[in-house]
Amino acid sequence: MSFVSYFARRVAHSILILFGLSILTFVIARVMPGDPARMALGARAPKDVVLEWREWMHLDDPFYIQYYYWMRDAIHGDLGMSLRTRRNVAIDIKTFLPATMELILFAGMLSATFGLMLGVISARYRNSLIDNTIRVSAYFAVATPQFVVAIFLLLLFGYVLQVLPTMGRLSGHIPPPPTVTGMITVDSIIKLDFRAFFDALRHLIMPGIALALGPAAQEARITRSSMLDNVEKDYVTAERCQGIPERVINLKYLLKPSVIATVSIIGLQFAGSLGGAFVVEVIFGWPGLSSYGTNAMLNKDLNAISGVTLVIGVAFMTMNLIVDVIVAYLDPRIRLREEE
Amino acid sequence: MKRQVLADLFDKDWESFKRGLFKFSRDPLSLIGLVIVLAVAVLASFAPYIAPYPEHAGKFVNFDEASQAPSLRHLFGTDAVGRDILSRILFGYRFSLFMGVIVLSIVVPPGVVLGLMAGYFKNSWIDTLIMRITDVFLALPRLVLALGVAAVLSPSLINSMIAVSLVWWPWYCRNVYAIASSIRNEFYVQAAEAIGARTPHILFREILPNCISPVLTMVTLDMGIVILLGATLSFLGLGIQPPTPGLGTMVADGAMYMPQSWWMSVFPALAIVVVVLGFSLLGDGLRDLLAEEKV
Amino acid sequence: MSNDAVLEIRDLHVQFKVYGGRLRVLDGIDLLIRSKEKVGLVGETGCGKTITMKTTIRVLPSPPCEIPRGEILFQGKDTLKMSRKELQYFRGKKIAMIPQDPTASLNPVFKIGTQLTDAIKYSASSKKNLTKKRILDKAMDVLKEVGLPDLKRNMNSYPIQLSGGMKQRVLIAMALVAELDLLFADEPTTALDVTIQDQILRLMKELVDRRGVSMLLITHNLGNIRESTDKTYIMYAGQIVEVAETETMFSDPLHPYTKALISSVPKLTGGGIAPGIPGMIPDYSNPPKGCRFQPRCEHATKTCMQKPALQQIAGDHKVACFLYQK
Repeated sequence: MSFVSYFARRVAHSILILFGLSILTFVIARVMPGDPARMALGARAPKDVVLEWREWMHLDDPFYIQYYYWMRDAIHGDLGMSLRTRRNVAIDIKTFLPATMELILFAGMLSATFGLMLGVISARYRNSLIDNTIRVSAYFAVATPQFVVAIFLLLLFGYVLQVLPTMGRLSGHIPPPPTVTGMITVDSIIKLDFRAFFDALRHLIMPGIALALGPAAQEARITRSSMLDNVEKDYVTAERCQGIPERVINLKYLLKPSVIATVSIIGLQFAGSLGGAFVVEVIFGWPGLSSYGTNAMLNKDLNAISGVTLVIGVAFMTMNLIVDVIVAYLDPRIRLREEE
Repeated sequence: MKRQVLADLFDKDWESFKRGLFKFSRDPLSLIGLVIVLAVAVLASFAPYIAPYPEHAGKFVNFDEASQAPSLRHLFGTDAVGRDILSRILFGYRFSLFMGVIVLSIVVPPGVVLGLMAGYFKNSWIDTLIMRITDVFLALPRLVLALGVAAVLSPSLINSMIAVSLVWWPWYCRNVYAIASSIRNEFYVQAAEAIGARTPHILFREILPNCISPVLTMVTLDMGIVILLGATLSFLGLGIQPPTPGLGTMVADGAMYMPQSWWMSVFPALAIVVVVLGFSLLGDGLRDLLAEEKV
Repeated sequence: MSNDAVLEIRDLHVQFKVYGGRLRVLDGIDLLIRSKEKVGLVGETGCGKTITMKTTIRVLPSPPCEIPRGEILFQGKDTLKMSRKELQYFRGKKIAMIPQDPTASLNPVFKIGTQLTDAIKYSASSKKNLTKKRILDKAMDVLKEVGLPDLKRNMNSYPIQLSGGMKQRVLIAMALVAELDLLFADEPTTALDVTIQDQILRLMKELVDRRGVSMLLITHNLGNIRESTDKTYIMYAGQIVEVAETETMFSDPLHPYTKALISSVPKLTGGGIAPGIPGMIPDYSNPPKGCRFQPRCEHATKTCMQKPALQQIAGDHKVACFLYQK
């Protein structure tokens, strides 16, 4: 149907935006004060070496030429060399990305599950003690910065109670499973290495909760208000008059429209957690893309910065796209309206 | 007549505005939000006069009094170099609110204007141009973009405000765009066009009033979120620089001394939570106040 | 109680508890619908017509809504005292409703087919014989009856793909899937284009006549009443002010309000536009005592501070006004 055309149009739109984004990140990276050549080669490098290096990096060419070279290489998977690690940025990203993905997916699942559940409970038992507790907690959860939650969890469970590990993804004494997806939990399940799996899980819990708390609260709120809104809609009255029992209305005719609003939020929050991961990874020493990116920024590692930003941009936009597509699939009004 | 002017600001008639106010005054959460925001505003404005040790907010060390637990002399204790945490929190509020107000003042007018233009001239090149640029800025998660910009420029309060501003403007543009593009086909807009009203008139006198309520709600809620983002940036070292007190920096500084000297991080953290909570509650209350009434 | 009464409402009071106080919406409504009778309920917007209907089927949300007094006897049983399970026995099976706004009354995220088959499924009197084929057959029959024969296409469409008129036909179809005794139609044509209104109204009349169902038509459109009903109730601000056979109502209106209503309809035969009725409907949180029309009535006297009873004049013609008290 027009579903395919809707999808195609969104993809084309995204590619265009990606193009603009690449220009933006490129400009930002190149605007940095300081001489990248000096930073790469050291303060004592001889002048002609510096000049040669600058020429090799096209640093004296006009902007658009620099951009062209960078883009050309990027499309071929070559994002330039990181000044810090001296490896291709693309390889660096490949190394660090899975860790971030694992964290985000875990947090995403946590927040979606709890968010939906608590939201439905809240709506069902409107104005009861449970509802009010959930709502007040949600307010606090949203108002608390992620780094505060992270530190608090770290302190409580890591240092005071000492039940959970405080850093990294895996304890030192446990060998990691062979890399398939790069996500330790998944890889260890594949190899049926339960020891590694549980250890990895223990490491995931705290950063996961820190990342998931805010989004879960938002999702609970939206679910609740969506369900309460829909209960008053005319079609519910009409369905009741048609003799459709309450049970069916609740589980079928109320749930679907309400969930649509929530799915939208879940997707957005999930995509946004890419940003939150930055802080959480730093605090928990989680070796992911964000730590790599933060280090790159603090060290003015041009190529790494451009690369990381580009990859994050792509990931973010892809997630948004997927969310839009899912929502369009669930809500016929959206994709059918696009026809007009 | 004056009442109507106030109500007009929110594009409502006086009766429904009065009802909204009545509801607002009956809603405990909204009132709490209002109280918190006002309290923080007062504290921040008068910090130099209220703080017990205002000089601690600048360059100050006193190792004799360092790392002291909360006491009568220092209600929230002192930090590692002997500065009074309560005073620094009050000044921290000052900077946070300052950042919030400035950022939103910079961001909202252009964002709204661009949104109006893009929405009114929907499907023209103006729309495409503005919204594509907006989309590019929206293509990155907020924190990442802010981090990127703040890292590129040298870390300072001003630069972090610039970073946050760049991150924020597209949201107003987009929301106003949504409203403007749905309203532009309404009859009163078409009527204005038919009479031959000029574009600025249509934009600002016909369409804009419909946007004021949602924008106002957004601004209130955003104050909290901007403060949150600012705190995160300064936590990472990219915002307010020492010795200036920033709530996020204080949490970061105190983190090393946890859990023994817990007060060093806990109080600034609570301070952040309280102010963000206040704006959230107030914003939600405002949204309910200005919402369309159901019969 | 008459023997062939399908619906009898006695002294119904309905109130809503809201922020500023208490809205006394219905103030002692009496209504009678006999078997195979087509009854109209007329009044201005906001006079309580829809609330009367919704209260009968008990679809008003209970916390704000309260029913301090009254009885609603459907085929002898009081719906106000029924449990949810008992109500299930009626809804969709013996009483059905055609709502006012077809766009808002269809669930936007489900296909028409899904909603129709569910309506059929849950209005069946017994679970047996409910095969998929039977349900589809029924769907086909009922869609054909309302003039939507393109079965496959319509069943697979979402509400947003249908026009207003088509959606209303679907809703009528959903109302007619069972062997009804009573059909409520709540301003079924108000949300539609003028050209469609007539079609829909005629369709409804035809179906109702053919099936021998009683109907309550709620509207503020006097033209519809005249064409489609046998008996008419005039309602003002939550009170029944007059009831009569439709023809009599138009030829010999008695209540001041009825007279004003009928004369305010512009006639093609000339006579200009009537003056209209000065004033506005009352504030339900503080309604006038007694007859609620007195603030706007030119014949009002002090006696009107008491509520006039519905006095029989002749046959079915009753009026609630002290002008006609014996």
